[in-house]
Amino acid sequence: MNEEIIFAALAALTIVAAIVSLEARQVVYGAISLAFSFLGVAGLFILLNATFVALFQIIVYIGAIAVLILFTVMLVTKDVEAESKREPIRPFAILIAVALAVVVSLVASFSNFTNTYAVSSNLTVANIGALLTGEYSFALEILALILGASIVGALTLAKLDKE
Amino acid sequence: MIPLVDWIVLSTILLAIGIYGLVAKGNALRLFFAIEIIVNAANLNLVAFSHYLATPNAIGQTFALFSIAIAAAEAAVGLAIVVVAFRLNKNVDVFRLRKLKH
Repeated sequence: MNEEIIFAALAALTIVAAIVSLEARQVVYGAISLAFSFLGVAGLFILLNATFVALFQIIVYIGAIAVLILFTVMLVTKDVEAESKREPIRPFAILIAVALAVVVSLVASFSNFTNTYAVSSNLTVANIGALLTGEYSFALEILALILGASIVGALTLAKLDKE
Repeated sequence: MIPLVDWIVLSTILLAIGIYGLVAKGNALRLFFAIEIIVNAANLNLVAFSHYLATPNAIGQTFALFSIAIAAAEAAVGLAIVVVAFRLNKNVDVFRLRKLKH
């Protein structure tokens, strides 16, 4: 089936790009790879019939966060990244990550999620809008406050040593 | 048709990659990448579960939107902290940022 092939391709893109973003020798390549990982997740959102969330993902994650990260990497990074003191923990970290993935996957494969399939739905952006302006309007206001506060915080930090 | 378990496994793998990055990396920017990967895994889970409900509703998608907005706020402050740390210490290795300890 077509859907499975698209799912497998997007999942592979997301996972490989995520690993490369952590393991690339230069942080700049890692940042670009992270943007591809975000793009893969956006594609998966479209596959889940969540077109508006996918749009938001592309605008906010790739348009804002990935570009912000790229700028920071270019401001901060030196030519050669110093060898981290954490290198000895690395096999241990891989062990933890693999154990977590295997155990949770096993638990999920013994649950009845294995034969849970999506029922057809016609959710549109109108449903999200109704929730945002109705039930969750207070949360939306708080979110606006948080965003404003974070911008003030970032500006304050950036001007820290100019005085 | 894709069963729900595939999405759970996918987001678990992303979570495991993020946790590996948090444990094994010392560069503050890499830790930042790992956090973003974990947030993405959580968003994927929210949207997947809301899509597979017996009577689908948009609450999961709304929560994912909230989560993305929070991640944007976190990115702004986090990257500002990284820039300040670089200005003060000339590197972003979290193991050399120990001013508060002494």
